[in-house]
Amino acid sequence: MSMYRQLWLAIITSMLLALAGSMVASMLSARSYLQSQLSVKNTDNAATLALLLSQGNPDAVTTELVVASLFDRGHYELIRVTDPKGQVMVERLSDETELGAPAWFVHALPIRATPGAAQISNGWKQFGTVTLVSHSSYAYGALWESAYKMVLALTAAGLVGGFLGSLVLRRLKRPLDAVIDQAKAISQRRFITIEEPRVPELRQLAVAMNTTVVRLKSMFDEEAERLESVRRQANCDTLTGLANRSFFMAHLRETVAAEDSTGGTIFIARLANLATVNQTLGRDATDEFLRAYAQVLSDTASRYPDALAARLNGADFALLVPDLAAPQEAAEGLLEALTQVASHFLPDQPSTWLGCGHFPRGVETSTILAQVDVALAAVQAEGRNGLRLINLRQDDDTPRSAHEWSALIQRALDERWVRLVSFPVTTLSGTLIHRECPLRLMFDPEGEWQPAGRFLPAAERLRLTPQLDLAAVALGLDELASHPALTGLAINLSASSLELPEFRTELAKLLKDRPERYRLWLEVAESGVQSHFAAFRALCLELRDVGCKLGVEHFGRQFSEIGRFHDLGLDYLKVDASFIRGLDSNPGNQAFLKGLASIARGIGLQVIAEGVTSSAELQTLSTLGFDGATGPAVQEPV
Amino acid sequence: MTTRHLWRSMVAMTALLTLLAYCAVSMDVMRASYVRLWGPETVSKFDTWQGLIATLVNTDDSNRIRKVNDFFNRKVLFADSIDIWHDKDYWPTPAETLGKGMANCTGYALAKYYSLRLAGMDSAKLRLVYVRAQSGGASSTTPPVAHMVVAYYPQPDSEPLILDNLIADVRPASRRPDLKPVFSFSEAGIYEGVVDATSGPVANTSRYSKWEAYLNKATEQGFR
Repeated sequence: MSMYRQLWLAIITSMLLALAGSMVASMLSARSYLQSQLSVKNTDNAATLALLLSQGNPDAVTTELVVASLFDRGHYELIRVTDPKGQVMVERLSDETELGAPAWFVHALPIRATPGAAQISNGWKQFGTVTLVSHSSYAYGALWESAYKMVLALTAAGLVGGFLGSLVLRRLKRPLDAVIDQAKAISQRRFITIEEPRVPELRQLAVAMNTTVVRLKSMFDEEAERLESVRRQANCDTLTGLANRSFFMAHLRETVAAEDSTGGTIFIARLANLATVNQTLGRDATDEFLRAYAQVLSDTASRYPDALAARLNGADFALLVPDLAAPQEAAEGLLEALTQVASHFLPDQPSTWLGCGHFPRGVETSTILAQVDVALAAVQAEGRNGLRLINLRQDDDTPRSAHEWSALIQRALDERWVRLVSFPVTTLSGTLIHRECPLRLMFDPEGEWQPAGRFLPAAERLRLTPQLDLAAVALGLDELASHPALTGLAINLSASSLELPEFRTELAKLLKDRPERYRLWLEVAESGVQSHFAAFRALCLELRDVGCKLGVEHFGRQFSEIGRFHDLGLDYLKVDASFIRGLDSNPGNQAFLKGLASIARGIGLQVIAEGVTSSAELQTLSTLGFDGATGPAVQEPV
Repeated sequence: MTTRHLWRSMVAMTALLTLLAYCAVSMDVMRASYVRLWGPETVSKFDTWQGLIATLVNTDDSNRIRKVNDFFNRKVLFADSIDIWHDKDYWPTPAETLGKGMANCTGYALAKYYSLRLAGMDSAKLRLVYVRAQSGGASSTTPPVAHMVVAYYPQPDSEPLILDNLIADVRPASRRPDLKPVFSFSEAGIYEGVVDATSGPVANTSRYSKWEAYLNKATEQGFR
C-alpha cells in the first residue's frame, strides 16, 4: 500500500476511534447519570408515599386509592404495596410498551434503575412495604436523542477532521510526488531537478538528489565540452571551422549510399590563385579572407537541412546539400555570395570557380567527384568567376508535381503497397540487438520497391510523413507479433511528423495495448531532433511510460547538443556513419567516439555505430566501448 | 463416621471459621477507627463493648435487646447534639458515641441499632423510628419533642419492643403512650438501593439522603 494511502487510513482510523470512543464514553456517562437520577427518584418517591400513607392511619382502600392516584398522575412503571408478610396488597403495573427509543438501542444500553422501597407503618404496627419503579421511557428517550445528536455532531466533526486531514495530506503529497517523480525520472535516465519541498525530511532528500543531478550534469557538460573539441580537431578544418576533407568524404559516401539517401548536390568552390593572394595580402589578411569565404558556405549550409560545408584543402571548399530541388538557382546564389565576399579582399580579380554535381542515390562517389572536377576545370579554363552544373540524375528521376507525388504515396498507402526491409543491428560479438526496418513503398503493382530516399523528401513537403510513419509502426508491430523470438525492431520516425500533436496521439494509441511495444525501438534522426526539439521532447515525455525504446540516429555532428538529452530518458544513440568510416586509421575520431561512448553509457544510453563497412572498423569499435554496430560489414546473426 | 458425615461437618466447620474470621476482621477495622478517633487511652471502652457484642452473638433476640439497651443507657450520658457535636442534628457512629460517652436520642438509637446488627440480629426485625415524644406521659402539658428510638419486631405483624433512652427498660410499644410513631426506616430498602457501595451508582455524596450517607460512614468505620 502506498505511503499516502496508509497515512489516509491512519487518519481515518484514529479519527473513527476517537469519535467512537468519545461517543461510547459520553453514552455510558449519560446512561449512568440517568440511571442514578431514576434511582434517586424511585427512592425519594417511595419514601414520600410511605410517609404519606403512614400519617393517615392507612387501610386497604385508602392505600389502593393513594397508590392509584399517584400512579395515574405520575410516570411509573410499577407501584406495589406488600403487607409485612410479603403478600401483595396493591399493585399498579404500567402497560405502556413505548420505550422512547428503538428496541436495539434499549437492548444495547439498558437503564437499570434500582426500585425504591420504604416502610409504611400504622402507629407502631408495620403496615407494609412500598416498592416503586419509575417509568424509564423518558430516560431512554433522552438517551436516544442525545445519542442521535451526538452522532450528528460527531459526523460533522469527522467530516471537518477528514477535510483538514486531506488538506494536510495534500500539502504533504505534492512534494512527495515531486520527489517520487524525480526518482522515477532518474531511473528513466531523465536527470531533472525539482523545487525543494518545505517538509524537512523530504527537503533533505530533494536537496541530495538535486545536488547529485547538478553534479552529474556539470560533469557531463565538462566532458561534453572536452569531447566537442576532440571532435572538432578530428573532423574540422582548424582555420575555418568547416568540416575537413576526410569527414566530408565519409559524409558524401554516406549520403550517396544510405538507405534513406535522397541523393543531393555537391558544390566545389575553388579560390582562384590562392598562392598569389597569400603573397599580396599577407598571411593574416589571407586567413581572414578564408574565414569570411568559409562563413558564406556555412551560412548557405545552414539554410538547408542536413547540408554540410567543408574545406577540402587549401583553396578548395565544398558544400553538400541533400535533396536540393533547384540546383542551378542555388549554385548561382552561392557564386554571387562568394564573389561578393571575395571582392572586399580582391577587387577587380576573378576569385571563384564553382563546379556543381547533382546526383541521385547510389552513384559512386568517385564518379561524382570526377564529374565535378571536369566542371571545375571547364570553369577555370574560362579564367573568370563562373559555375558549371553537371546533372547525374536519370530520366526517371524527373521531378514529379506535388499532386502526382501525393497521389502516388496515397495510393501506395491505400493499396497497402508498403513493406519493411530489415538490416541487422548486432552487438560487437554478433548477437542481434534489433533489426532496423526502413519503410519501402511501391508506386504501381508491378513496380519495384522504392527506398525512403525516393519518396521521403516529397512526403515531407506534402506533410504525408505522419501516415507513412504510422504505417511503418503498424507494420513493425505486426512483424514483432508474428515473430515472438525477434529481440527488437527499429522504426524511423520523421521529425516533421512529431510536430503534429495528432500524430503523437495516434502513435500512442497505436502502441497502447500492444504487448509487442516492449520490443519496438523508435528512432529519429539527429538533424530532425535538433530542429524539432520541442516536439521530440514532447514525444519522449508522452512515450515515457509506454515501454518502447527511443533513440537518436545519425548522431554526432551536433554532439555539443548532447546536454539537451539528459532529461529525455532516451535509450540509445546511433552514431552517424561519417564518424565511423575509416575509423581504424583516424585516431582523432577514435578519441572522440571513445569519449562519446563513455559519456552516453554514463547516462545509460546504448551506443551503436552506423554504416560499418569493414571488419577493421568493427574491431576498432570494440576498443571504444560501443554496444553495437550496423552496416555492410555487420554479419547477419546466425 | 461415614464419609458423608465427615463431609458435612467439614463444610459446617469451614463456614463457621469463615464467619469468625470475617467478624474478627470487621472488629479490627472498627477498633482501628476507634483508636484513630480517640487515641489508645480509652480503648478499653471499645473493648468492653466489643466483649459485649461477642457474648451476644450466640444468644436469643430478647437477651440481645436487653443487654444492648442497658449497655448504652448506662455507659452513655444524654446531651443535645449541638452540645456534643456542635451540629443540630449530627448522626454519630457507635465508635463516636462510645468515645464521647455522650449522645442524644439519635446517637443512642444508632449505637443500639448497630450493636444489635453486629450481634447478628436480622435487619428485617429492626426499625429506626421517628417519634413524637410527650415527656411526662401522654396527657402532660409540656410541649412534645422530636425523638428517635429503635423498634424490634419479633414477627412482621407483631407489636414492637421499644429501645429508648428516655425510659431505660425495654417495653412493648403499647406501654409507651408517651411516644407517637411518625415514620420508620429500615435498612433493607436502602442497602438494596442507592447505597450499595460495590456496584451501585455511587457518584456524589451530596446526592445521598442523610440516612444513606450515615450508612456509608458507618461502613467506612467498619460497621456493617
